[in-house]
Amino acid sequence: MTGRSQAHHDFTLERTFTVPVEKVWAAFADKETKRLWFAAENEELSMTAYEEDFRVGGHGMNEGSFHGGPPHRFHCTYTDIVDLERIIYTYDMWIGDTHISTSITTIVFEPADGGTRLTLTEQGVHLDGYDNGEQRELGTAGLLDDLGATLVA
Amino acid sequence: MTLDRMFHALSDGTRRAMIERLVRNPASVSDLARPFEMSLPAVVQHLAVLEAAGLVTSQKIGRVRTVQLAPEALTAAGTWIGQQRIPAERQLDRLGDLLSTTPER
Repeated sequence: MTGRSQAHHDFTLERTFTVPVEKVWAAFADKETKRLWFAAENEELSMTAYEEDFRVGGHGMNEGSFHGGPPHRFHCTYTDIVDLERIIYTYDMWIGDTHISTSITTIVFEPADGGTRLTLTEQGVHLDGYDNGEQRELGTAGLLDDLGATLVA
Repeated sequence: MTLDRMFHALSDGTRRAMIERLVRNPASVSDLARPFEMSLPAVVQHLAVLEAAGLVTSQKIGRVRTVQLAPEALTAAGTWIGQQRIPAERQLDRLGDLLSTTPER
């Protein structure tokens, strides 16, 4: 990779879950429940670290590698937590010693039709063109997760 | 490349309508042609594109050519589309799986 670059990217995802807000919230607030979906291992990805300190000013961290490649590290700082309503954190992604992105994530929880509407917005800056290939890897790993989940369902 | 042929075949509304029709059951070429305002040769040309992409197969018995959807035909295209998801989407997919399978505590 030669030269420096900064690519800014925002996106919003919206999902509706058929369970009450309390249960969705617990999947973020409870360390071990969050690990199951946020930092899950699979055939491609082995996790080597996972930390979660869910309070304003607290940090979350996880680290894993694909097929024994360089570690991918996520490190976040919670900046705003409103019980059952809102979570905001800033996070950085690293691959080995290379810093690849800094982002703000805003997650809003709302009751909707007896379930929960979750709206996740990310505003990020992606550095030096490192992101794309790695994202593909993550996406492919996730696909296998989904396949597994579908098979056992 | 198979995906190129597949997405080319899917890039046309008439051909997609033919696939939607064939999902229900096999059909003769003339039955397939009926809803469309085009000549039979034009319909046959669309079917040839679908067949070249591996999406349909056809068989002539007597005078009637019957067209059917190839089993698993769209799996490769669906898999490719399914892979084009960003990590945050993947994570929310897993959250959804978790929330729908964990019993109430």
